[in-house]
Amino acid sequence: MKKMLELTVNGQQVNLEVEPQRTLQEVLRDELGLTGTKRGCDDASCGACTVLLNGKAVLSCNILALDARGKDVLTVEGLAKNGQLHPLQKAFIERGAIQCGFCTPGMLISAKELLDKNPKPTELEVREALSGNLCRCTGYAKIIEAVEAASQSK
Amino acid sequence: MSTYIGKSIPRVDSLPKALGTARFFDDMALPRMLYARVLRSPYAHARIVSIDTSAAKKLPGVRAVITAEDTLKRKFGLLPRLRDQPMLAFDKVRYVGEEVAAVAADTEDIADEALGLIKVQYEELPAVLDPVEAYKEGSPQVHDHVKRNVSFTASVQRGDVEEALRKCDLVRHNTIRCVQTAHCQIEPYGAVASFEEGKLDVWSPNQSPFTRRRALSNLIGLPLDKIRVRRCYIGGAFGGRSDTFPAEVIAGLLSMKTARPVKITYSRRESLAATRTNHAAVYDIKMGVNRDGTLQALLIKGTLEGGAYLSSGTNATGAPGSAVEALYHAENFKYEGTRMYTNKTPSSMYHIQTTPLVMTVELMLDMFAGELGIDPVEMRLRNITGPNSVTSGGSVISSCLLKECIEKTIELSGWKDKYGKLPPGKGIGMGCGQSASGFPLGIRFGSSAFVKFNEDATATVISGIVDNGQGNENLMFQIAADELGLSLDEVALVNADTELCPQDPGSYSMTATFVSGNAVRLAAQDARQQLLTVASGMMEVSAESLDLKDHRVFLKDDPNKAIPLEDIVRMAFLKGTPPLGRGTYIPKPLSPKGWADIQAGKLYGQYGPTYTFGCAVAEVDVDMDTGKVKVDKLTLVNDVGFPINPMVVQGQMESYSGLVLGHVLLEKHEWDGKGRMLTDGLQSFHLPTSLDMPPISSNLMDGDDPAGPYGAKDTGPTGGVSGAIINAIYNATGVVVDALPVSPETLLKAIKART
Repeated sequence: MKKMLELTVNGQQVNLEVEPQRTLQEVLRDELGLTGTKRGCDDASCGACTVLLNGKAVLSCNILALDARGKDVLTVEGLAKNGQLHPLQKAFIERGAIQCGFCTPGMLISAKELLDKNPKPTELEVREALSGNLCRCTGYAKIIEAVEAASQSK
Repeated sequence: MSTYIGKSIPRVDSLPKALGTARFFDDMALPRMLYARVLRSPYAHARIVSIDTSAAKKLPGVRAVITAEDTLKRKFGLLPRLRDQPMLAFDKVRYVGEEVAAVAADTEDIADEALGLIKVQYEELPAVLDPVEAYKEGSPQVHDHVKRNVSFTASVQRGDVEEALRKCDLVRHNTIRCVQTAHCQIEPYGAVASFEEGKLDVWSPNQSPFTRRRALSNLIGLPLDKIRVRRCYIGGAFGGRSDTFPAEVIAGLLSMKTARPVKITYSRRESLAATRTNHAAVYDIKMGVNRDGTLQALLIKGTLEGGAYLSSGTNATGAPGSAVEALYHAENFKYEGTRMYTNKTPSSMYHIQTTPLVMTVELMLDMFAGELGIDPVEMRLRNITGPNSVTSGGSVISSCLLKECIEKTIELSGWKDKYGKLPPGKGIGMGCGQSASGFPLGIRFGSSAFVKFNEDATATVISGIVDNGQGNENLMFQIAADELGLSLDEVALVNADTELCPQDPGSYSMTATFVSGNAVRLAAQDARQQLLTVASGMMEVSAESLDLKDHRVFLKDDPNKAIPLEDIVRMAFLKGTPPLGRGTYIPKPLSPKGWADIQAGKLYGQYGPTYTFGCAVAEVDVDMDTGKVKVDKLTLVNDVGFPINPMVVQGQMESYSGLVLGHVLLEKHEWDGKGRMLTDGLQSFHLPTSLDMPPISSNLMDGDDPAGPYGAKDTGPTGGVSGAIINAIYNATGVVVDALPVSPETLLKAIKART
């Protein structure tokens, strides 16, 4: 039995019918076509599907879509505003923090949550905030650098 | 002066990746697309008695069910005589997770439900799960035609190593063993296939579209021109996506059967347990030196556990020997690699596969240095290969700045203030490394490229180059824009598509910069020459007196005399000579059989046309109460010739560092007694996180390779990080590591045994 789901995604009101067992990740990717949110593990261990739910970073593979009812979801597609890149996106690009790019959306979202709460984090605070987002390409070096650069540009 | 070559410019592909719009295969949705799932073997070794798919076929929403009976029953392998892996098992299954049947349905849920309705009757056979057991007379045979389960052998030899060992002043004998680890790309594996109008389109994350197409052609029975392997963004490869997997064949067959597009997305579990692992291995090493610290003899026996199928195990068997012989000079050298079949997940090449061996050679050098009272830096300087030296396998090393890399690493890391002066539990260590660049492998062709100009003076580059995530595409933009006097956004790239692009070897075993980069350079230079010829007619001067830069052609002697590029391109079209550049590059095979006599398992001849080198220093903090190792800092210096994009090269050095740290300290596949992988998820298979990785100082020499494009060589698993970490642990604790990963429990035990 499908159920009604109303939520805000990247600032837009969305109404749709979903099966109760669907995760937020599945609804974002399969129903709304927001494939920037990646699927890397299905058991809340890689961080590639991280989105902001009412400003808090959550793993969208680990949340039922219906639990997001009435809430505000931000995915990587919603980071840039009016054609302007978010400072984190800009820093990731300029610092070479993106290689294969599969972990990038989740990294950006986790980093955004950090900077929203703590605009001037220490290196250790950055590392702690991103420790749930796995990356196999960068050794994290340029990602940490990029988040620090973005925090200074704010 | 170049505009883009040699500059740390941001990668062109990073914008779509930052926006979340870059499409990976799993992000694709085609009209009427079906979803496929695979039924896998629960047994490590069993005979398939019967398969009944009738109930599965009747489930509403199921569109097709296939087994080996729906295939040509051909096997995959790198070379015809080495083909051993069926795409859907027939007769036997050889590891837990092997593909037995597949379903295409309207949804993944229906496909999953259908798998449960397929009845397979197995007759379980005794399995062999250990390479030593596998070699014993009377052990179960993984493949009926392979006696004692020897999958492949490879050797390199120079001089009489046994005799030389007897004459050395000092001899050491060490062993190192490592269990299977994984490439563990963050993107799970899979494929989308669409069969339409007699042609099969395939999207899948792979390191070599042309090799993939050849395999698909053989396995599915379509000619090459009816198979199109297409570009998609790829979520990492690291050597684990260079050969062909059942996913793309199964998706292709199901699409042919249903006349609808089919997507198959592996779960994380399937990606770990049913694609490829890194080889487990044991290396037995005897090293002999004289009192002056010079290396006289090196005898290495490697036993690699390859799992159920050969995969790219041919290269993996020889690579460890090659990794050592081109790094340190030993007049007497012998490497013998033996790869064994067992009933486990197949093992393939891995970017840092030679880590355990190279690391242990580095450790033994430090042990000798201590014994002889020689500084570890000096120990290396006395033994490294250099420019114009010849390796034991007969390769000539052309450009080599290893000595300079070592000196710079020592300087930048502050080695002299730290070595021997650190408090208990703290350690510092160094290591070196090299990798072959652009080597033809004996099986692959060169790369070709086209450059075409559009009427508005923008250009399109057509190259088979594939980007697994390391930045290869950007390399082509930089080269073409520079040669053609264009800005980056005036260049478009069509790539990694077997229908649209000319032949390319693929991006595995370090070849993209050297081979594909050279092809694009030649194609761009050809187009540039054509433009200069047209301009010379317009300006009534010789083409040789002209130069092209920043959208204009001008007289070298009088740069104010110039014509805008747009006018020249328009004139070229009007005259019926539209600029169409082409270029082909293939490294010269310097011995008749290339680099190897595969039939005889002997490696001899030019391995790589050139080599990349590096040195690393690691600083560690060992908790003497728990055995936990924390790497505090890595300092790396590499010689990659002239780096075309230093920032991208640094990114690859840091990537390599992360893989090495994981392999040395964390990553470990475990199996139960039935051959089932216990570590098939990211909660049990531990990758390094941002808290495990230290700050990395990655530095580059300003080198120049005579044959590389603009003097560049490929970046590779070059940096010596494994040796640096293991020597830093030795420095901190005195423990001689003999197994990977170095877990806190094993290190603590070893620390306690010493005190």
